[in-house]
Amino acid sequence: MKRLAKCRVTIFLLAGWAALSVLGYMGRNDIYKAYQKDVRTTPYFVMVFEGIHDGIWPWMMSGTPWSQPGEHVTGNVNGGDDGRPGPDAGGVPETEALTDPAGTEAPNPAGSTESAGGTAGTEGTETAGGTAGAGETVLPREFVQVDESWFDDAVFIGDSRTVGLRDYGGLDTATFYATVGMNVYDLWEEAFCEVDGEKMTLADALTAKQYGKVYFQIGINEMGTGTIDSFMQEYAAAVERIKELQPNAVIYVQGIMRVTQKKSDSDPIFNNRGILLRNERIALLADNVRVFYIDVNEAVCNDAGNLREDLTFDDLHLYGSKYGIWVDFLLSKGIGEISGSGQAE
Amino acid sequence: MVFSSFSFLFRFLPVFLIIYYLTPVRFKNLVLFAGSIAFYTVGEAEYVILLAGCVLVNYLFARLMYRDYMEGRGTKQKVLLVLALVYDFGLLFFFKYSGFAEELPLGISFYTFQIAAYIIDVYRGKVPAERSFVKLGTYLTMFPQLVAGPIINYSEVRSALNHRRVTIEQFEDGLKTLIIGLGAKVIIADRIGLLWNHVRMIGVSSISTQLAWMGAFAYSLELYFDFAGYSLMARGLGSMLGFKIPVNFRHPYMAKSVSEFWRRWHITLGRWFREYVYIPLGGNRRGRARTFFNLFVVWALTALWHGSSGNFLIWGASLLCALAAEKLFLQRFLERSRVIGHVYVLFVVPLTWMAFAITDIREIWIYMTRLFPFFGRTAVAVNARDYIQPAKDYWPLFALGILFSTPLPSEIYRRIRRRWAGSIAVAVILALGVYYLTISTNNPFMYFNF
Repeated sequence: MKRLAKCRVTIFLLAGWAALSVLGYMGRNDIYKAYQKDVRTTPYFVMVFEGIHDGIWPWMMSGTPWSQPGEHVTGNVNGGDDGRPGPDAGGVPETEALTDPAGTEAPNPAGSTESAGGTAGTEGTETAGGTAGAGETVLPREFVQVDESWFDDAVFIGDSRTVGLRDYGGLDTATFYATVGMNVYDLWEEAFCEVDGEKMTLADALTAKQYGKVYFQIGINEMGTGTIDSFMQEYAAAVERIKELQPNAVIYVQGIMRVTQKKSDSDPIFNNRGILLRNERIALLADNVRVFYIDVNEAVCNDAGNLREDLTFDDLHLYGSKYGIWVDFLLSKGIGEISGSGQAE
Repeated sequence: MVFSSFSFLFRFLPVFLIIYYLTPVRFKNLVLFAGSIAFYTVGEAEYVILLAGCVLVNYLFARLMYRDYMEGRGTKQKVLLVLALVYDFGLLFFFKYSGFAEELPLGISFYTFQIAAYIIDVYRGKVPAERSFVKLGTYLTMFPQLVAGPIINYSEVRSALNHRRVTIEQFEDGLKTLIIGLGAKVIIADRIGLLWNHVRMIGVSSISTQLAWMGAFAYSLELYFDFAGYSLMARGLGSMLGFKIPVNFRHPYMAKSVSEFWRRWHITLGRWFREYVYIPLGGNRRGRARTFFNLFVVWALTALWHGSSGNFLIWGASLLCALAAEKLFLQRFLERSRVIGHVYVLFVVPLTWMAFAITDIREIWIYMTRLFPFFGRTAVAVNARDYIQPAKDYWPLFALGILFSTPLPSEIYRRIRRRWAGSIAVAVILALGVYYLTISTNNPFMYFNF
């Protein structure tokens, strides 16, 4: 016993390692599903820490006493006793239970899958084509050179690259809703927009004031998460939501700025192949009437299509002194007077 | 395989330790030698032959040099010594300075110095030539210190190579040291390093003077906690294996002069240069002019050891200037007050680190003009408020870094280490360390963090 007292830290380490590894192992197909790791190099407990980082606590696992209330709502003492963990923990299994029946209803895994899929597809394209063709007779608008007053009623939404543009682009009259690490999944969740010294969500900020132009550039931080399809789904939904919130604004969807060749060649995730694939899809969102696609890579990349090495230290962000290139590029992409719609009317 | 990685801490190390403890005493060196070679092979398989060759060549030269103790030192010994040193430093020179090699073999700067010390000590008769190839190999390649030191003298571990045992208390102590070192690296160094990264990302010509100073201090703290943390981890691993690895850092930022700073920083390297360069050249016993020449040689070599690019020469020259000034007149002035020395060190040392951190000489100059904006106008697109957000984000890390640069925490820890409070403190560091290790390895962009 006395000897054991001399190695408390060793015991703590071994016990903690064992306990958290068991938790990680138990949750590997459950709450920690998103963190799958190569077990040869990474211990199971790492998933528990990653979960904690993302606000997922071990007791949220389905099958734990705390998740019981979700299944039999009033059956458990814990649920009534402790309000917070009850609904919180119950949330996970509950949504799982809900998605299952919903899932069986919608895609219908039985014989009729093909026909169902087929109708859905054609319906989709018809409506899309229909609105564009019949609803508006406006001609596509063209890009023209403008001066800096163009940005007086502009809002920029984005990640750290847009933060750089805010800090070093010298566009003092424009509004910026951007933060480091922003991505399409957190766009509407986080209160990252500062309006009159108060932090609010993007939806609230875009409701509070109307703008003439919305510049949107996002998509590099989430390259390691989900697929291009899941990314585009969120991205397109975000553009739709911006359209609704800013009915009078033109929306620029900006291609994701590429990385240098050094970075691109060495990184399995954050490389220009992946950026190119995403940008191709983002470009498809443009209708050249309300939504325009612009790609700053035209101005900051070399002939091989990689971000120029002399513009960046970390292979990802422009030097503070180089944001002028981006600003000049944006100035060349003003939208001409709505001559098209004038003719139509 | 760096120490601060899951594959080392929770895969290689536990497996190795289990095998090591189960091995009978007479095979322990062999297991450690083999384990170290495996450790090196995982890191850089292509140069493992170079490491093995280094052990073999120096083993043979040392044995030839001292076949029997009565032989003494003669021409033969001198020739053998020179040949061995030419081999050792020739390879280091080839890989580091000749420009023919594309990359530097892992740890070569450290193990070359270590084996050179051994062969010189054998020549000097300070230690007998090791008769066992395995023991010499174990000494040189021992994985706790193979990649980044500390540079251990053979005489320090000789008796442990022959006989050592690890008690449960030693293991616990080693583990605690390892954990504290890990904490220094992942809780402080890696995170405050992000601020320095941020400064480089903006570019040296576009930072405000405030941010330039914050960057210089952030880098100074990052470098200290990174390297001192690594050395602590090596020490901890050493005692888990039954070796006493020497201290490498002794609160350097508490020094009151640059020369004192360098007696507290990377102690085993300074010791090496003193023992094998400065003293043989005559040290400070041959008059003032010769002392300055000797200092010049030592610092030229120290600068070269750190790297061959031009910025390291500037770095070495700036340190040499400070040391010479101190020897000539400054020291007397600094000793007059308790405060002035500290202020001087905290002002001068971060400045010298800038020439260490920035490899482009033109950019070093620009950085100086940002630190001292009256020197010249090189600013482009400076955002005058660029320091406000970093100050908000990083002040807790600065506070932590400053606190742990003083001897206060280790003094407190020394008093409580045998009590529950000490164990809990280490356990908290472990949990936090693993947490930060998780989120930084999970996110390959931690260093950039959009």
